[in-house]
Amino acid sequence: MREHKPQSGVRGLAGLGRLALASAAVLTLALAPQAAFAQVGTTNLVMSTPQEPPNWDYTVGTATAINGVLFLNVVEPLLETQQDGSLKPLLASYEVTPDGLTYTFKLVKAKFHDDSDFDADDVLYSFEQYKKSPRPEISKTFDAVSNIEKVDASTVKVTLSRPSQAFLAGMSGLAGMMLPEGGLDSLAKAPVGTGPFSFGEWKPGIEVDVKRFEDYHGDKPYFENVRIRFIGDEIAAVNALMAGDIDLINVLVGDGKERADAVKADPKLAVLTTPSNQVNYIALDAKNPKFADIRVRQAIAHAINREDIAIGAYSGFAEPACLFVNPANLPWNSDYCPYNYDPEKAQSLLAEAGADNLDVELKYYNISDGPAMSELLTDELGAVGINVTGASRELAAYLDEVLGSSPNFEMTTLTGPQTVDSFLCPGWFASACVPEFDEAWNKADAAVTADEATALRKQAVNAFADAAWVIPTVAWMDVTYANAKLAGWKPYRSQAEADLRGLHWAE
Amino acid sequence: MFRLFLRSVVTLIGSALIGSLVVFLLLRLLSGDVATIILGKGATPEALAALRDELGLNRSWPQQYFDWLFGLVRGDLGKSYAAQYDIFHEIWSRLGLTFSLSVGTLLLSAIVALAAGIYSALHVRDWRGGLIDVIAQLGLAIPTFWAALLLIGLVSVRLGWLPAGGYVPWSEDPVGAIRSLILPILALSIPMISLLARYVRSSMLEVTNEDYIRTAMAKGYTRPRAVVLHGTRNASIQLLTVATLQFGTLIAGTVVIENIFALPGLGKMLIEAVGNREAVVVQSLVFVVMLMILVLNFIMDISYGLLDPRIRHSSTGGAHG
Repeated sequence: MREHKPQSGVRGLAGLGRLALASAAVLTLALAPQAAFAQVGTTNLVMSTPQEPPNWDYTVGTATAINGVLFLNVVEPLLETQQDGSLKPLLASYEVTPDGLTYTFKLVKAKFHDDSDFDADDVLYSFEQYKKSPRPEISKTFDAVSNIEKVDASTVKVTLSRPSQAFLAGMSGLAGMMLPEGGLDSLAKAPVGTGPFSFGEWKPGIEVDVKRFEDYHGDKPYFENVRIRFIGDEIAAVNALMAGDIDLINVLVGDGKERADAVKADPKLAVLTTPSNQVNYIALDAKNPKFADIRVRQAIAHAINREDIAIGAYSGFAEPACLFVNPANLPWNSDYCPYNYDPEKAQSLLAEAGADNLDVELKYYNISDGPAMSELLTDELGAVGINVTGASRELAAYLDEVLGSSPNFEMTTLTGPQTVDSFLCPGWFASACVPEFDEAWNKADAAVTADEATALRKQAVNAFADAAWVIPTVAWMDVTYANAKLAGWKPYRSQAEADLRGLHWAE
Repeated sequence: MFRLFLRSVVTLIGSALIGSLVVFLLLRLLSGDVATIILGKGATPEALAALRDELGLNRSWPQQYFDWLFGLVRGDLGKSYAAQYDIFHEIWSRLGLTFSLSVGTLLLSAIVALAAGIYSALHVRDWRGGLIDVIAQLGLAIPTFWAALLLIGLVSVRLGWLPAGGYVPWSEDPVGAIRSLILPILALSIPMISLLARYVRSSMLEVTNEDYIRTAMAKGYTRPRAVVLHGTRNASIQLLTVATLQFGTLIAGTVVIENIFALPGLGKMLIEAVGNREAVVVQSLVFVVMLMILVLNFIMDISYGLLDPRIRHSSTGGAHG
């Protein structure tokens, strides 16, 4: 048989081969080893955070993720809370009359990111907006305020109808954040403040950039450009950290905490923990007759093993908490624990109350610590004879059913930055009114000295714990993974912030 | 012929609209709305009511649907509730990534599958063909996300050759774009190659037993050459069908890969919008995706005519009949 020239089929195969070779060449070029950990030593920082807020308007939205980017970095409060709880002037210093009724704020010279000057008009504007805020933790700050007066361009006088610790505390929190006149309109998409970083481009679902503000009134931060990437999958974030794509993961809330040992073992990385202001707690529906008998509630509290929960749901990054004090370093916290872990006591209380075979539905959200808490609680309560059925919900559904206008749940567990005064009568979503708590707490707010207030608040939170409608389990530690060469991470939090000001590369 | 074309277009748009209506209804049957998401855990009932009013969530369902539809007709896909971003702009900027992922995966998979399938068919009777078969089975069994995590662990973390995630847009840096796409495309291709290779293999095996192969051999071709020459064209038709179906899955079904590699694609956008109850985003995005898939299928139907002369000639005959 004559030899034929290569047939079209074989020519086709050869063509395929050449295409493959060409692709391989392109790929090899692309695979040139990259500079991993490219940011080290530069003034660029790349960090990630697992949660992105729907928008940046904190006067309306309650997402703590907003604080992580804005608080102290972009927008500043008048006063700054220190680690020991004292207040330091940031945008203003203050004086208060001995009767606690008149505050005079002397403003610091500062500029906003839109180049306008910070003056008393901005303070008045900000306060006016916050008084109208639908968020109680912001608007209630001004409950005792009877008059706000501009004395001159750099002095503001606030007169109260009664002493109010809440007002002073508010000045170092969200209600004290200074916006420029008209700033609320652009807050949701492009916040403007006096902070050391100006808000740059926000690509929803991807990342947000902040840039060093060269006209900042204080010490300028080390970093010029900080990119905050929203990486929801914590394992992906940890991989990116290990590969050197990012330098810091701000606060892991889910399964990323389980990789702590691997991160600790890597000499290029470090695990940083700070006390946080997130508390996990169980809430019982006060409208439900099942829980009317206090012995039933006490039994539930006695069945909780907080050590197990700290390890099982938070990989050890949590402190047991019997009292609803948030953050845990507040002076009215104590070791008082009305119902410690005692399964036998729980069982006998249930028997006394005639509730031997209690069936309870536990509603929880299916992200973050929800599933782990549900498992642990089902176990622990089951061990004392309470039969728990879990009801998992997507976040949107959970917010609607439990925290919505007509709460529909029996027992639930959630974690949040709520402070105990969220439960003042009518008791928020738990519908629980505890008169001793309300009385002591309201008296505390009207106290003139801080010590008086502290003693009364202690009374209040203890009474609240005794009633056992809302049972705290643990106080979270905020866990951050970072490049080991990154220094200056603050050892405490005042508002769920991620303070970028002190960060720098160690030599 | 023109009437046929017109009918196809009408069916296409009609299907997309019906699909959007289904999505519209389903989304509203879920509990929770975007107001609860925006306001979060501390929302008061008054705040929720005020926000709902402001966002227009209190309009009746028919009104909401037709408002959205009229916007569509004007080319306005709407804005997201929470962040107020323009939906069309957002989809457009993510299309580059999603297309690169899908087309890249399909191209790579098709090429490798053709080669593997042909090789396997030619060596069907000995161990080499069997080995390809076993590898294909394994490839189908491996979950994509597991393959992705392994790849990241090995290539990014341990070797540091490629980034562990994130996307560099083509307009910014083409080499960076390729680097950020290599691992995701590899992860997506593993099951795709296995799937396609089996189709190729079975088509080729069919061809092997045809009469025209014997004719070709009589004309002087060796069996492998004859099979490859004639079989590839036939196998391609099957491949095209399966690939088109897979393309639809790739457009919006790569959510897991997008999550693991932190890629801002359409899949992630869709699932986040559903979770955040961003009704308009979901409706508009689903409509666009459906349109894309339907148009693609339409184009593929036409290309059959190009690939397969039998179809071309039969349709011409039919129109004259």
